[in-house]
Amino acid sequence: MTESKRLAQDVEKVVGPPTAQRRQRQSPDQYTRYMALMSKCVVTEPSSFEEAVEDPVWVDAMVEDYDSIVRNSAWEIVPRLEGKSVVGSRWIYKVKQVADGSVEKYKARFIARGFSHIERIDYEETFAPVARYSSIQMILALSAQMGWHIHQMDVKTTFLNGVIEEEVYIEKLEGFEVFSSESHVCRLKRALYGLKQAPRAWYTRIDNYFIGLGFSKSEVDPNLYQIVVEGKLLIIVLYVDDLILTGDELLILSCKKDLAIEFEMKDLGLLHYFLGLEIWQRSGGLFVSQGKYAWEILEKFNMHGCKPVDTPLPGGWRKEDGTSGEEVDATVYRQLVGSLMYCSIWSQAMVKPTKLFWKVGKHVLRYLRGTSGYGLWYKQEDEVKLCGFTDADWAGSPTDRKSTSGGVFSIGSTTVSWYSRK
Amino acid sequence: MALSSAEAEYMAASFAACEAIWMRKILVGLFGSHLDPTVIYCDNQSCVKPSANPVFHDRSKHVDIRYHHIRDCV
Repeated sequence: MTESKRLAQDVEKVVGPPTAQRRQRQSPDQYTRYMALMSKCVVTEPSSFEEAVEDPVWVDAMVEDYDSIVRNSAWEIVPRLEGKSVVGSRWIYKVKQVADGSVEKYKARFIARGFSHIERIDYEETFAPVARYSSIQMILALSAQMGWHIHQMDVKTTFLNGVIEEEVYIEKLEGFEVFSSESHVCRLKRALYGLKQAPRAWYTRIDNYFIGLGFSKSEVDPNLYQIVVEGKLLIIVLYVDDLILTGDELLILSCKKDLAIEFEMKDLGLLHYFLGLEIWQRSGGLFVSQGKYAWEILEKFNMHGCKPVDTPLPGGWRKEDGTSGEEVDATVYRQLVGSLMYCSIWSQAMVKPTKLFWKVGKHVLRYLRGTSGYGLWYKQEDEVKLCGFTDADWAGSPTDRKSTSGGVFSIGSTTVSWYSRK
Repeated sequence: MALSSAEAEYMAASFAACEAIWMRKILVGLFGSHLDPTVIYCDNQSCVKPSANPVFHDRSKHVDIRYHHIRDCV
């Protein structure tokens, strides 16, 4: 009997007859290395004040935020009153990273726990308008047409600029207690992040400011402001804390100066990235593309290596076929639909997505892969003319026989607005 | 609910008219000048004709009043 056979017999005595081999599962080598690399790159964000106070970078960030609160004189410290509700507060921490993963900024922000507010007691109205997408497109098209440059500005600690009208009390700032006594709270004079009425307060403030400067507001879009000085035009589009300025170059410069005095602003120069749109301004026109955004979506769903297709949706696809079938992870699917904002036709499948819907979603991603370099080219032309195209699909939906109507509008040769609805 | 392709197109044209009015308001607001009429293209003659010529028709009797908005715009 050879050595190895005897050994096998010995083993059999101990563990019983041989069975099918079991493979030990372990993650591949490169994965472990990748994780080790990632854990170095990803900077952890502290979840509480106690954690953050130990790290000097976060302390600096908190001091910076505290300074801006003080600069804006956002509150006054008052004795705690009986019967007035006091909103909780906390710090939140965020690491801002640049595309390559390196840290751009450590950001700390003191926020109010606005969710404990009660309507009609702590706040009245919360609505704040934002610019419509097609009006932004239109302004882009017009400035391309007129050969104007488009500038962008950004307001720092936006909501702290909003003046608050209601009586709101908030717990003291953790780590920066001015009064040691427990009985004092802060009465807010400025809107704090997290408050329900913060966006509205901000909009009211900047709206009043623009009107005070002599701007007139467009009657159809409340975020579109314009002013005419000595026959020269300046247009401003407001998108929460982003401002787009276009028109006469000198007017833009003087307006930028005015704004910088009134608010804490960051001048971003010529517009090149706005709401996921990449904008290239060239002489003779401008090019708008969503390539980066599309690419981010593809990477998020791990589809950046996929084969591109030319059709947005697979042919012969019917929504009704997907009502039964194997279910897929609803959260991931919803993320996908949300990222694509393609929900108009898919919204019904949001609750119980099946495999078919997932396949269709992936098809859209492949289409995105093929077209991510596409964009709109707004060019300067001799004639500006608004022109519309419309069509309808009669009884297109197999379940309720509702028709779908769609339309496209263009100024000159470039599309500025499009829609499709059932 | 559209009962004929003409009605469906008619509804689509009506939506488009609303959109066009909105966009024209922006343009007029910005430049304050006279604007040439906006052309809306539609690929259905039975939709184009009743929009331009408001005569009463048996077949168009059922069309919801809101979609006749386009007659005022043309």
